[in-house]
Formats: sequence, C-alpha cells, structure tokens
Amino acid sequence: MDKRLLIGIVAVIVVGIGLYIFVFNQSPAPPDGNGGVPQKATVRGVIKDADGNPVQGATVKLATQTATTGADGAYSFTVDAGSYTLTITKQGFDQKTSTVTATVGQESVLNLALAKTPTEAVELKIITRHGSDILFKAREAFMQSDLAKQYKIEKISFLGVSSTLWVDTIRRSDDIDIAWGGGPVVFDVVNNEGLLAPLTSAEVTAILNQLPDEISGSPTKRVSGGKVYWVGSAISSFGFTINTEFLSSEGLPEPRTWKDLANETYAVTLPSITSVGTADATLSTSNTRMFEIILQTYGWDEGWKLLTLMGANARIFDKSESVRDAAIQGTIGAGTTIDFYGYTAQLENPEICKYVLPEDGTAVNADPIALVSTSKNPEAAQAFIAWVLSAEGQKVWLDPTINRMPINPAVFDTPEGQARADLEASYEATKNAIIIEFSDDLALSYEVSMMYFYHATLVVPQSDLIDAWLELTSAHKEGKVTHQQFLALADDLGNPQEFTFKDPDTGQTVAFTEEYAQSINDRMATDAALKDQLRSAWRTAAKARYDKVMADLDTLIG
Amino acid sequence: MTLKGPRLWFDPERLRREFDAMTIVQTLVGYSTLILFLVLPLFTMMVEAFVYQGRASLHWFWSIATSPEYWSLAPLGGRMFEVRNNIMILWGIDHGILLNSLMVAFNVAVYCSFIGVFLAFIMGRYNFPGKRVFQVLLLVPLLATPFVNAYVIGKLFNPRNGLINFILVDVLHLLPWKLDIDGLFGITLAQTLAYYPIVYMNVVASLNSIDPSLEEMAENLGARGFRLFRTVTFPLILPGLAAGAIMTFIFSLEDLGAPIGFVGARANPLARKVVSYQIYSSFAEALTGGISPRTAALAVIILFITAASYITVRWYVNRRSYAMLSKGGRWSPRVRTPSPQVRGLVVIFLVLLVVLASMPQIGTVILATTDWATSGALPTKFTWTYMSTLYTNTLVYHAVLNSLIYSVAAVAVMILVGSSIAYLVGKRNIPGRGVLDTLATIPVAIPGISLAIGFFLFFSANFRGTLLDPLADPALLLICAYVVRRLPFTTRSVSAGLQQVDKSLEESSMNLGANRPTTFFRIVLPLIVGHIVSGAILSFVYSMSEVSASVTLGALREDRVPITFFISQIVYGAAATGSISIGAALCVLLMAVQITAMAVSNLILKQRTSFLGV
Repeated sequence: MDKRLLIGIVAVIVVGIGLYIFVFNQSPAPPDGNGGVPQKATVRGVIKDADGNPVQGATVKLATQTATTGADGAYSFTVDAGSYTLTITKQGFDQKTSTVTATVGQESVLNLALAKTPTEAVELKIITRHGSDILFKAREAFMQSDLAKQYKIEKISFLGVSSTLWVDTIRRSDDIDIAWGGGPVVFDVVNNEGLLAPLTSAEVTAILNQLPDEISGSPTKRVSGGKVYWVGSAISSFGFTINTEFLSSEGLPEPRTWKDLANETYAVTLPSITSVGTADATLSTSNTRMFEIILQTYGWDEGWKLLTLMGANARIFDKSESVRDAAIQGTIGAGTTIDFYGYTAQLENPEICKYVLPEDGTAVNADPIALVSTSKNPEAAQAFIAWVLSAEGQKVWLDPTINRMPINPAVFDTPEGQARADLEASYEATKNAIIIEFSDDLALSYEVSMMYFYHATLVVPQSDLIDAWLELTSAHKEGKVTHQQFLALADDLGNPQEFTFKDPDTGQTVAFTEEYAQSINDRMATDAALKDQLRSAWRTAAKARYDKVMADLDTLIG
Repeated sequence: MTLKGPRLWFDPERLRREFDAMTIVQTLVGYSTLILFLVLPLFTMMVEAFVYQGRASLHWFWSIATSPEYWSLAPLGGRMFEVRNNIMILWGIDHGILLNSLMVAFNVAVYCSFIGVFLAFIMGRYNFPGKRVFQVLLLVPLLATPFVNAYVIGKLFNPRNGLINFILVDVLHLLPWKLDIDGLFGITLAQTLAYYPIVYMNVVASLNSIDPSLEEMAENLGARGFRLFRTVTFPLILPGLAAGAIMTFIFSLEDLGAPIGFVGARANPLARKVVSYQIYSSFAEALTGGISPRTAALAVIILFITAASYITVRWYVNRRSYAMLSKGGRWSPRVRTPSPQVRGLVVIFLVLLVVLASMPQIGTVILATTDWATSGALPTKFTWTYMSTLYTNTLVYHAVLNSLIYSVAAVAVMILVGSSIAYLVGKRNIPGRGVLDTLATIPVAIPGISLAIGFFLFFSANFRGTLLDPLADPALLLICAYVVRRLPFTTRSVSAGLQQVDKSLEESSMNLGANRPTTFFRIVLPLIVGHIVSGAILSFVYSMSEVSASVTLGALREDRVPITFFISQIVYGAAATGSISIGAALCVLLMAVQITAMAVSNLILKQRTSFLGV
C-alpha cells in the first residue's frame, strides 16, 4: 500500500514537472546573444508573366515563409543568411522553382517570369437550393455546350446545403464557385457577409446587358457600386393554389384577392377544417415575400390586420411544399404558394387545382444565381452563369415537371419554347398581372422583425387567435353583434398600432409600428438574447390581446 | 496492518485489480468515442444556454421554469371530445410545451405497456396459426418512412376525405360524426402505435427467460389465473417492462417524426407544442447557424430529464436483477394451444392491430404503387411508374449503396464500442462507469438536428483537412454520426444479455487460468452473441433510416449522399406531385432492406432476446 502511494506521488510530481516545462517553453524565447542585433538578409523580386505584365496574387514560398504578390507583382522576404529554394505558384500558370543565396546585410533580387499552363480540367462547385430535377437537367445540358468545352469544365458538383448553413459552408469550404437558387433573401444574407463576387467576365456581361434591369418593377439584379452581385436566373410571382373540389363541396367562393383570404366567409369550416393555408415566415422565404407584398399593398397597419385574420382563417404550415401538398390533397381550399408550385399542380390535376394571381396585386421576384468570392475558377464559373442565363440554359425551366418562368424570354423563340405555349401564356399573365409598387429596400428594412413578429404573434398563440375569431364570427353570423361591433373587434385582433409591449432595452411601453420594426431589424438578426426577449414579450402580448377580444365580446353579448 | 482505510472513490487497490490491459483499452475506446463525437460537438451547440449578457448564468432555465408557455397546470387551450360541425375533435389539452411533452411521453409509455404486455402474453404463451409471420409483422411499425410520413398522415387523418374517416363513417357507419385526430392526441396515438413493439419485445424476452418451475410451483400451491400473474409472473417481467416503458418514454420525448408529420399534413397549432418540434424549428429558422439560447436551455432540460429517468430505472432494475445460472439449459416452454375459437379471436385481434399500427407503412406502399397522391380517399388505379424509377435511375443505386456501406461500417464500430461499454458497465467495477453508461444512452434523447449541426460546426472548424473534415469528405463523419446516434441500441441490447450471464461463469474461467481477454472472447461473447446480433440489426435498421445527419452532412458531397438525403431531394426538391410517390417508392425500398434484416435476425435468434434492456 505504502509503496503504491509513493509511486502515485512520484507519478504526480513527474507529470507536474513535465507540464511545467511544457508551459514554460510556451513563453517567448529569450533574445539570442548577438547583442540584440539580428543578422538578417533580404530577398525580393517581381513576378511577371510571359508578356512582361506583373502577376498579382501569386503565392511565393521561401522555407517556412509565404508571401502573396500585390498588383505590381512584387514580393519580399527577410531571412537569415543562407541558401534557399523559392517556389512560386499561381492558378493558371506553371509552378516555378528557383534557388537564391541570401547574404547578411545585402538585398538579393530575384525577378522571375511565369509561363501560362494550358488550362486544366476544371471542376465547379455549386451551392444550391434547387431540387435535383432542375440541377441534373441543367448539368446534363451544360456539359454538351461549347462553353463547357472552351473552359474545360469537366465536372460540376452540387451542394444541397440548407440555407441555415450557407454562410458557414462557403466560408469553411473556401472553394465554392457558384450559388444558385433559394430566393433573394438567402443571397442578400450571403452578400452582406462579403461572400459574393461581382460578375465581370465578357460572356456574362454580354448577356446581362440583354436582360432587363427589372421585370414588372422588380429588380432582376443586385447592383452595388456599379457592379452586379447576383442576377435572377428565373422569375416567380406569388399567389394561391386553390382546390376547386374543396371549395365547391364546402360551398365557398373562389378567393380572388389576398384580402379574400382574411374574410370571415372562410371561417365557417373552423376549427377542424380550414379553408386557407399559408406557411410560417420564419421557415418559408417565399411566404415571407408574400407577407411583404401584402404589407406594401395595404400599408403596415391594414397589412397586419389582413395577415392576422388570414392567420386566423388558416393552417400555418412549416414548409411551402406542405401548403402545396395540402391544397392538392384537399386538406385546404386555398394555399399561398409561389407560382411554379401552382402551375405544376394545375398542369397535373387540371380538374381540381388552379393557380390564381391575386387581383389586388402581386410582385415578381428574381431567383438568383451568383459568383461566390471563394471561386478558384471565376472565369469558368461565370461561363456557367452566362450559360444559365442564355436561351439554351433557360430551357431547363420548360420541363413539364418544373414549369418556372424564365428570366430570359428569348427561350420562348426556341423550338422547345414554342412547344410550351401554355407556359409563355403564364409568363405573359405574370408580366401583365397587377404588379404592386414593391420596394425591395423597404422590405429588407423590416424583414427580420416582421418574420419573428409573425411567428410570435400568429404562429405560437394561433389557438387563442382562432378561438377568438371563431367566437367573433359566430356571434356576427348569429346576429349577436352588429356589423360595426364585429369590424371593431376584428380590428382589435390585428391592429399593430394597438399592439403594445415592453421594450427590453428601454423598459418603456411601445407599439409595433413600422418605424419600431425597422429600428430593431438589424439587431434582431445579430443579438440572440434580444431576439429571444422580444419574441417572448410579443408572444405574451399577443395572447393577452386575443384573450381581451374574447372578454370584450363576452361583455357585448352579455 | 489489517485495517482497511475508508472506501474512497480513488481506491488504488481496487483500480489495480480492475484495470488490466483489456479494461484500459475498452475504457479508452468508450470514453474517447463518446467525448469526441458526442460531448464536444453537443457542447458547442448547448453552451449558449448557460450564458446571459456575456456571463455564466441560469437565466434561461429560470425563464423557462417561470413561464406558463412551457409549464402550466391550468389548461392553455386545446379541444378534446368536442363535437362541432359534425366532427368530433380530438386534439388534446395544452399545458405548456414542456408539460405537454412529458404528458404525451407518459401516456405513450403507459399505453405501450398495456399493448406490449398483452401481446407478449399472446405471443409467448399461445400457439396459433401464422405465429412466425406475426412475429415479424408486429415489428413493422418500427420501420421509418421519413419525408412521406406527413403526406400519408394527411391522407389517413383528414376529417374531410381521410381514409380512416372514410372507412369508419362512410363505409362502416360506426360513428355518428367524423373524427379529427390531431395535435397532442394525434402524436400520442401515432407514437403508441409506433413504439409498442419496444415494450413487447422486452417483455417477451423476460417471459422467455422465466424459469417455468417458478410458475409451476405457484400453481401447485394453488395460484391460478390472474392471481398467478399478479403474484409471480408480473413481478418477474417487471424489470423488462420497466426497461421497455422507459425507452418508449424517452423515444416519445425525442421523436420528431410524429410532430413533423402532423404539422406537415394538417398544421394544427397543437401539434407544434412539444419540445422536440420547438427545438427542431428553432434550428430550421436560423439563417446563420446560431440558435436561440432559450431553445438550447430547453434541449439541456430534456437531456437532463432523459438521463434522470434512465438512471432511476437502471437503479430499480439493478435492484431486481434475476440472473439465470441455469442458462444454456432449455426448459420446456409453457406454451399452450387454445381452442379453435380462441385461436380465431387471437388471429383477428392481431390482424387488426397489425393493420392499424402499420398504417403509415401500408400507406407508403399504396402511395408508391397507385395514383393515391391525387385521387382522394381511395386510390383508383395501380401503377408501376414510381417503383420503376428504383431501377431506371442509377443514382438510386449509388445512394442505397452509400447508405449500406455507412450503416455496415457504423454497425461494426458500434459492436466494438457498444459491447465494450456494456461489458465495462455491467461486469467491471471501475470508477465513472455510471457516467459512461449514461453517456452511451442519452443519444436517443438528443434531437438529431442539434447533433448534426454540432457535428458540422465542430468538425469543419477544428478538423480542417483531416479525414473528419465534412467539407472534404463527409463519409467518415456520417459513419461516426450514425455510430453515436444509434449506439444506444447496441449497448442496451448487449447490457440486457450480460445481465443474464452470471459472474460465477467468468470467475470459474479465470480460476482455471484464463486471462481476461480469453474469458471475454471464449466465455462471455458466445453467451451474448444473440444479443449482440439483435442489437446490431436494430442499429443497422435505424442507421439506414437516419435523417438529420444524413441530410446535413450528406449534402456536402454529391457522390457521398445516403438514401435519406436522396429521398428528401426528391420529395422537397421538385414541384411535381409525382415526386411524393417516387419518394414513397424509395421508402418502400428502404423498408424492404430493413425488414429483410429483421427477418434474418428473427430466423437466427428465434426472438429469444430483448433488445432494449436497461
């Protein structure tokens, strides 16, 4: 026993000393004994290409040191005296190696010329939210194209990463070339992180100039400082997919406007059967855009009242796909969807499904494609982007299972395009639809607050909202309240001016006005704790508001 | 000096005795796997829960504990047994997110226990036609049908034109109103039907390991019927029942399939009010990978509840362990052949139960082989279009092959790590074995998505350029994710087996001069090989259908995608409605692979083993 204890103590001491030495050695080494004057030499030079132009961005390696040449092609090292091997690498050029002898107190100048390598086979990596049907069709067609051969693009791989992880994936992969599909919201997030590069190549520029800067008032390109950071590869409108069988069997009219979806007519089937379907703004970017359209069409106050009553009429799904499926299945009578879900449903179930462009207005959105700043082959990547935007590349949208609106209408002049007269008619209908004056900047100014407010006040306490709405509409139908009283109470359910809560920063009671939403928008995106407190305050306030309407109604009926 | 010092945690004498070379290797393997692939990645996700305004704090836990949103004894809403518009509403009552989850899980455990014990008795004590077939069919509800689940639930439960209402009301006229089964009640029902096999298998195993002489003695002493069951049989199966019930409790807490299915199909607000769904949606909504600290705190609470309930049951079961020294001898089992009428009733009951419980799986098959996706309550025509994509599309072949490779590799690692851990915990007296046991079990309670995102962030940040870098090649990390997420199945199964191996067998072996490895490989392993195989098969089945890590990590390289990622791309990626049917066809293929594995295990082991003992 004693012996073991001794061994234990010795072991602890040995490990302790070992650790101490290890930690001690981490501290900076004492200066050497040369009177403090380091004996150093300098190696410098300029890297040029075969034509004598300086090469920017070449990597120069000397022993353990690495430098990157600037615009003038120059590099410089400070080293101990001795003989060194210098290695220069740069994408698109042959690697070059040279030896140099550095002498103390002298500058050794080594200018080198790089020879261009014949372009090697290129692999493009595309981060994307498109489905595999679109991706595989596009890849197959692109690989046959002249552009693919010209840029020696031999492989394209897709990363179907969820939007949540785009920023992290791009940053950590450090070799992604292109981002494609997923809506402007994600692209603006990525762009704000500085991860998109401007489109500059000759091919892309030529085709960008052919495309309109906006379609029906919506920008098709994100331009900043005169440079294009993303461009739409397709456009979409927003509306609803209706199930005519559901509506006729429940004796309900077909909705024609956004406002219709908030009408008490559609409350009659509640609570088990719900005529309307929509999706949570925090989980569906397409529905986020639809809510922004409503807020801009009707203004902040009326818009929120409409969204609230629509939320009371609706089942709020967690995916835009689920809304589409529910409309096709006849779980709901009308679901808010992006256009191509509606057109495809209509094409496949012509007797039941119909896509409706709302008569009170919609907006057109561009679904972007962009060059990612980590691309190692920006020229080849832009060749792919140029192809996607060309009439040839746009044919992928014409597939009868895809049905998307092209950004480049020239595709309708191709033989394949002429075979899809129905899609061209829809394209024209989209262009001629009642398009509201939609401001992207305005939408972006309150987008984050809007999404979380929607979730906190409509999704979370939805049971309370539906209960109040159900009592209110029944009382109205049975004549227990006057139409005026009904309207006043319905107004109370959704009026943002009367939605008051305690601001976690100032402790003051504030209302959810447009200005307030804008003032906290950026902080909600970055400050997780503030976001949590606000969402919590909103949930509580929303529940209290719905309970109060119930109580007021009870007082009225007695 | 004969005086023995007080027993310390650090007792060098005991450590010397316990830590031979093999134990050291096993301990290192167990701990390093769990720390690297479970604790560290999870910690990076959960640490937010303990930070408030830049300082360490329990603020978020306090805010959950004091908020009625999470915890309210007074009902917050919901509807139950309310008839409105000629529809009976069965949604359940809302008591706040946390309490809802606990109540659903408790109810599921109770219902599963009743069904499981009843079934185990029928299957364990009676002979009737088709018994072997039912042994496999009763396990069908365990098969996952990811991504098409919601669609099938919509098709079944819709009060307007769902299949269940169509049969009950329109065809059989059994009910005066239609049923709206949804929300918390819907989740409870779906989970009960999905998880009863876990209790059933555990109880069957306990029943089969009871020495018949005990019951015979009781009968000789005059106990019959229910009295015999209550006083002798039931106490003997109680450890197995408790183990199965607590597993269903934990499964229900973590389960996302049912809530996502109901939210996706019908979007009932009550279906969202469970913890697992809240955690999932919090991950899904973030655009930059950060999650809400409150959600992280909620996840920590669920982990804590799981670990606590698990430790409690383990303590209870260990107190009542009945090792069977006479293992190896086969007693004549107490199986009777009842009268033809009773046999008929048994078969009818089993057919009804199997059909009801396997609705999601049957629905998936119908969706894959008919036009049901768009045809209303009933399908109108048979079609092979969707199934034929399985062999016309070469990508399917690659995705299935990838999944098979990952799952087999993961199972190989799980057998090594899992049986090491189970052996250390069950048979060695080393410090910290309780921690090891708990760590190896809690993965069943961790929402897959938090582990998947934790994996991505942790390994892509700290293991750049290594084999574990998901951005270079996600294959190895996917295997590791499967290992950690499905390890509990192997560990628990092996533990159950070890419990029936008496220590005296090992002691005899070592007394006769065998060293520890020889004893382990020549004596212990052969005795528990059945449990290892059944645990491994279950781990394999669940690895094949793993979703969260597959979708998150599998997306990073096209040639590495597993089958579940492929299904998600088909179902969510395309706008065409046919895609849901192709997704269903892929699920049919997945189920075929899983059911083959189960049938093989059943054939080899003749269902003598439990696979989720505590």
